[in-house]
Amino acid sequence: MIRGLAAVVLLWTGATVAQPAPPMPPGVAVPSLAVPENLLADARKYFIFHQPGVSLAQAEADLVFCWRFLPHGLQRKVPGFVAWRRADGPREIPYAIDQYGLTGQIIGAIIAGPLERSARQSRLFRCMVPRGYARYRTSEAVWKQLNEGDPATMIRAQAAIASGPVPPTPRIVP
Amino acid sequence: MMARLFTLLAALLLALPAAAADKYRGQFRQLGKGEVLQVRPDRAYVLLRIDTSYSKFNADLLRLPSAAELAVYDTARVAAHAKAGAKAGPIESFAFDHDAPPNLLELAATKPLAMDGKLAIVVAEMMPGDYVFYGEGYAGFLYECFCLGTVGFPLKAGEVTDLGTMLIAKASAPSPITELAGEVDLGPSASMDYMLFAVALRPARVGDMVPPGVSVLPARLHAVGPFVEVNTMLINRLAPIPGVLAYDRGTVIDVASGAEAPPN
Repeated sequence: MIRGLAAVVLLWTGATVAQPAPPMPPGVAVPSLAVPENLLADARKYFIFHQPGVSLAQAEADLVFCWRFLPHGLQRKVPGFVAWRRADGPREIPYAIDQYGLTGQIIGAIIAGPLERSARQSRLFRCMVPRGYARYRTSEAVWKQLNEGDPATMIRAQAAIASGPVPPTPRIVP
Repeated sequence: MMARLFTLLAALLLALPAAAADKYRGQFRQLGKGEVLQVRPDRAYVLLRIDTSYSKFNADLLRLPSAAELAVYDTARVAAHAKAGAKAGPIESFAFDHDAPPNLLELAATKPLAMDGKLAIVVAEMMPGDYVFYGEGYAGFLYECFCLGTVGFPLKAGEVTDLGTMLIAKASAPSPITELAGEVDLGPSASMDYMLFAVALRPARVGDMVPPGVSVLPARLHAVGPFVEVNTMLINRLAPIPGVLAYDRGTVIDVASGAEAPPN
């Protein structure tokens, strides 16, 4: 509920405050990056990437590369068989706690979202930072707009941000 | 009735060690505490020291499967996908557990041949072949893959290959381990809900502890480019190794050739 309210406040703020809008390629929708300080989310997890001087094409290539690592399945058991250089799907992670019935399912549903987001955030962080990208704080709502949906659209939007003007929010160091 | 129950329990207990050993199907055996190494001419051996200062992590090694093994895998996967029906989704994202002799194996710090201070001295008997240092494991699961860059090495029959020392530290904080420079002190984002660990492989050095009576050869390491592993908690890369492994803006460099180690 609080998150929902925060998103509404953010949208409202975005509609009334002048925004530095990076020049976007045609057809790419990028949310306003001018997030008020009180809406900036946990700096460990919620960030956007930027690199001065990087081209849109390079940023897009970097994000396409890193996107390959985002699927997250149940940890592989060792010993086991791995078909090197063959595609494999993510194994389902049983977040629900079976022995607690419906309560266990509810607990599972509550923890699944944040933990899955965390796995995704960690993967992008570890892949993008060595490629020269800095991180800037953002809100949970903006992060979701850039990370939930069609991958091609999200990659284009994030690439536009990464290669555009320096984001107006604080830089995360380190 | 009771007699039958006891007989059944006894049979189960007797079967336990066999079942535990059977999970390796003759592909792997880690030497126990104080065990004397007997080198078989048809097996390869690896020696690794694992730093247990933080915790007892494992080294997960992947033997690259042969073309024949992959052909069997492909056939079995297609059949399993067909059997699963429409609910299985596209075959590219179909998760398939192949019932075959394992090629992803762990050197467990919890079962060392010996300890040298905080270093677990681990020796294992393995199948000869080409291997990849695949990731860092914990309690029988792959915790962190070295998907963004690592090393490979051959294990030859009848030889004991000294892989060196596996060094581990929290990636979020500074570390005095020089081999981990650039891979640590990454800040709080490296310790979200799951702790990211920086891992280095220090090649074998003169004076490193070697079990008495064991003759070793240093590992012939080469860089291995990125690979995709979706069934892991976290992704990371092995720390650079002088003369072997380097990174240029995230690209994996095979130092010996000066060329990129391409993605797999």
